[in-house]
Formats: sequence, structure tokens, C-alpha cells
Amino acid sequence: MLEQARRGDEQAFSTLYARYQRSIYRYGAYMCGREAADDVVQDTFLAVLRQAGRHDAPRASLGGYLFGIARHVVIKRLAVKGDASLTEQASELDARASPEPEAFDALVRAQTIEAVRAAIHDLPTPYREAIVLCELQELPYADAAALMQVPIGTVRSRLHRARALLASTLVASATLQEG
Amino acid sequence: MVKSPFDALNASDAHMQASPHVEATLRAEVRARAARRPRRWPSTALAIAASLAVLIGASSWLLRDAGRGDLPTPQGPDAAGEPLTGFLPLDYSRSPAGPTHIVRLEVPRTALASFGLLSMDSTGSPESDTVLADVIIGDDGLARAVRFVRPAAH
Repeated sequence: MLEQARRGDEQAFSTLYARYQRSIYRYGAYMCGREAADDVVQDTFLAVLRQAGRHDAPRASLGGYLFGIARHVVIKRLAVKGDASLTEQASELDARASPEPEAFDALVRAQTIEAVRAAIHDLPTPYREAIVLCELQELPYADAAALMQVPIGTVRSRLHRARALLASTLVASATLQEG
Repeated sequence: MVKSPFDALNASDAHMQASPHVEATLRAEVRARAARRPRRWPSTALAIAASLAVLIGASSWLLRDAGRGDLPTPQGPDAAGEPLTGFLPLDYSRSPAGPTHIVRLEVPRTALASFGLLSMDSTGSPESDTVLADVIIGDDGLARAVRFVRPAAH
């Protein structure tokens, strides 16, 4: 299907686009902001179409391949804004200790959708990516690890820390509302 | 049943999708790619080329047997008609040809479509099932190229 789309088969492109544009849009929206999500989708699919003739794609699943390209697009856009944390600062972040998330699930459910969305947006980028890929896109940890180019243990630890940070943000938010 | 604390967020995001202009831009790219693709000869064109080669080879052999060393070459404005296309390479165009000859043949009108020439009504009477073509052949009897010709007006 990918090769057919690259050769100009519109039907193949339609199938590919319909299957993946929403999840890539959502990934782009959470990682770069809603205003940039259209560009992430467009740049991702343009890159896919223009890679005709290359023989290194896709080794993994089609979805993993597309998300890999989308991630490159996201990294470029974040770098323009001075955020290189998906590539440079991740190891430093990963070394930090994190608090234990307490009653995380109940806490998240108790909050409004917008409060949770805002809390996710405020996470450091590598943690935000872990939450977006594993919790929102529901990718298996192994697939997320391959995409993020980190060991699966790092994905687990980032998720753990992300949940802890979300919990603390949401607790603070709830406290403010009560006050 | 709630499976994840993010279920409400996932449900809320269900409507999120790229704007229509993104899809329109990408479709334009797909169409442009289709238009840029080099046209590959359909199998019917190859079959016609092979038929021409056989026909011309047989003609060459018969003419040589009859004591004529050369194949007929279109001569004069009437014989030449008006070329409607340049010479289009055939399957054997990359083989060394040595001396070549041009012969004029009537070929099925479907040959036009085989070369991607779908609307050349000027090749003769639209009712005719055949069109005129000049074919370059080598001494080996293999066709190297073909061009389509409008018959001279009488």
C-alpha cells in the first residue's frame, strides 16, 4: 500500500491516510501544540510519499514506520523552538528521582478533561511523549521503545515519572480549585 | 467499564483530525507523482512491435528472394505524407542496426493507443481500422522505431 501510494495510486493513499492521519494528528497536537498538528500530518505524509525508491522502509509495522517519520517531524519542530529534549536532555531527565504516584488513576478520573490535557501539556517533552504514545495512542511498550529509540525499561520509568508529575500537577490544581 | 484513567480524554479527542486542506495538498502530491511516472509500454505495444518485426522480417526475406536488394522507402510528398509523430523507439531499438530502411505499413488503429496516442483522429479516416506508419528496420529485419503518418491528401 505504501509503495502504491508512492507511485501515485490515489486509492492506496486514501486508505493509508484514513488509517493513520488521526493518530498522527493527535500525536502532533500533544507534542507540538494543536496549531502545529496539521503541519505535522502534512510533513509526515509528504516525507513518506517522497521517499519512493528508498529500500530501507518499512522494516517495522506500517504504523510504527509512519510514527517514526512523524517523530522526526516533531523533533525538528521542537528544535526550532529550542526544545531538544527528545534527543539531548532525555538521559539527564531519566536520571532524576521521581515521587511515587499516589492514587493516580482516581485522581485523573476526578479531574476535568481540560485539566488533564493541560497537565499533560506541561510535562517535560520526553515524559509527555511517553504518556502520549503509551496511554493515549495505547502503543505496546516495546513499540514505543523502538519509536523513542530507548530501552523498554526507560519507557517504563518515563511513564512512571510522568504519572507522578501528572498526579502532583493535578493535586495542585484541585487544591487551587478548592481554595 | 473504564479501562484507563485517560479514557475520557481519549473520547474527547476522538474528533481530532487534520484539516481538509492537508488532505487536498497531499492528494495533489499523489496526483503529481502519478503524472511524473515514466510511461511504461503496455504489453499490447510490445506485441505490436513483435508483429511488426515478424512482418518486416518476412517482407525483407521475400523481397530479397525476388531479387530486390532494398525494401521500398517512402519517397516524394505523396509517399511521405505528413509525419504526425517523431520516431518512437521499439523493443529492439537498442540493438545495433547497421544500415536501416524505412517501410510504410498500415497498422491497426489500436496501435495508437498502445503508444499512448489516444486522440489522434488526424491520422486518417476515423472510420478506418488502420493507420499509416513508417517503420525503421535494420538489415536483420528487426523493427527499431515507428512513426505515425497522415496520408497525403488526394
